[in-house]
Amino acid sequence: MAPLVLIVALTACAPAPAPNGAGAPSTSAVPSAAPTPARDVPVVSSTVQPVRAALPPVRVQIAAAGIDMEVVPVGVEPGGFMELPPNPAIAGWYRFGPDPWSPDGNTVISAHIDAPEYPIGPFAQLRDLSPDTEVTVVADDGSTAAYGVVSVTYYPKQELPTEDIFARAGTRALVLITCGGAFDSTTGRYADNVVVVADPRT
Amino acid sequence: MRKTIAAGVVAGFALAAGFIAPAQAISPTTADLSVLHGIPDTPVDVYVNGELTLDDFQPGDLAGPLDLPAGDYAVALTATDAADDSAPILGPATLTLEAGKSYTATANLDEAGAPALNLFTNDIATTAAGQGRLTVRHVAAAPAVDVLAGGAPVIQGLVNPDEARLDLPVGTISAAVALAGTTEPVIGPADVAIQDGVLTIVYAWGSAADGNLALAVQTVTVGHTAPGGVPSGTAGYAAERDAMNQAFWIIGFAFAAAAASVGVVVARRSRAAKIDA
Repeated sequence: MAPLVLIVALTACAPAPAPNGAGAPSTSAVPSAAPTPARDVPVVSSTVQPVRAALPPVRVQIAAAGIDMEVVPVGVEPGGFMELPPNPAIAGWYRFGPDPWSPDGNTVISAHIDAPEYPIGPFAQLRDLSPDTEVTVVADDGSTAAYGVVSVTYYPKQELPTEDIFARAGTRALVLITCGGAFDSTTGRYADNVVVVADPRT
Repeated sequence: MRKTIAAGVVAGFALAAGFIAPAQAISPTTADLSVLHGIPDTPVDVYVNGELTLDDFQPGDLAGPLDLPAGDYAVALTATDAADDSAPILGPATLTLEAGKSYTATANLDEAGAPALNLFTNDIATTAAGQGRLTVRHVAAAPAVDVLAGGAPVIQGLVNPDEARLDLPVGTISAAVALAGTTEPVIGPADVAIQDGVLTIVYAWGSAADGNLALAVQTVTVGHTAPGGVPSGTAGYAAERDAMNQAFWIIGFAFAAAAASVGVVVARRSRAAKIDA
């Protein structure tokens, strides 16, 4: 008897070939002379422009689950997997991707569900979040970003849609990830990832 | 198979996928073309295949990208008051664009200071996670240069109209251009951002003799590499706890069932006893 009641949904979510933003730069008006151009081409100055600096999240809070966790920036491990803080009580924000205040793309925050010699982590509760649960991400300068849970999904690890999860373009979702499902003590790995998707709320 | 709670809501990513904007407009049959104006003090009109395409195009400006079918294009630059491209100041030149590629055409000065057109192919290959790509192009009327990052040469002996390319960890570099073999900047330093999944192209343009050397920057979003997975549990404690909870439920259930059946038996026995009595 499973301790959880899960509504099973199959979604046709083929990993799209990473379409990564781009987008034409803003167009400046071109004064017309005779003749007029055949098409409208965006023109920008090529002078060195300051690039928006990332605003790293420092806490993730889910009041309904009693979660208020420290968040630190992380990258990738040598094997190409997302790096995570060893302590399950600390979450990692994927610093090569968007932050909550980026104009586009998903903010990805992940934490171990458990690790040897540590208590079970707060993200063990992710699987129990119900739709519309409020999630707040906080930056060091006091900025906050509010989200509402849209879905909680178990993905077998090899089917994790990483291109979609780590998308740079499209909606500004928050993605929280931990492990779940059956634990294989011979490999020291869980079978699934538990993925929470939350949409921005004002 | 995957399992999702949140009834009535399509799992997050099917939803999000619909909103993903196309990256470059590049398709299997088209190419992207940008145009950089790197001839100082000379606004121009740009004609492509005889059609006015860029009107009053100013030095230092970057136009595009244009999504164009693969093929040959005749490009000519005229004075800004020209009625057509019959009297170009540069060109006509033929640009051959291959499908699926990204190009930047530059109108610039050659090493001797004469106007020239160059067509560069932008490297839009996917970058590794945590890396961005830097391409440096020498399109200035100047001799060979070194490119300095943080004061140290990272590209050496670059001559007009060549380019050099390297992938770097994300961050900000203080970029400067010095005459080859020297470390005294003739352009810059300027802070250039190296962004994950982004090609940053830095042009050295202008004229050393006229003292108007400058940097131009173009960014092109290329593919990034997403992490291969998220291994986020290594002890199995949570699974153990689940198993124990489940065991308690099962044991508890068994006790309850056993107690109930004992009760029934007792009841039956006592009833039987009563009948016997």
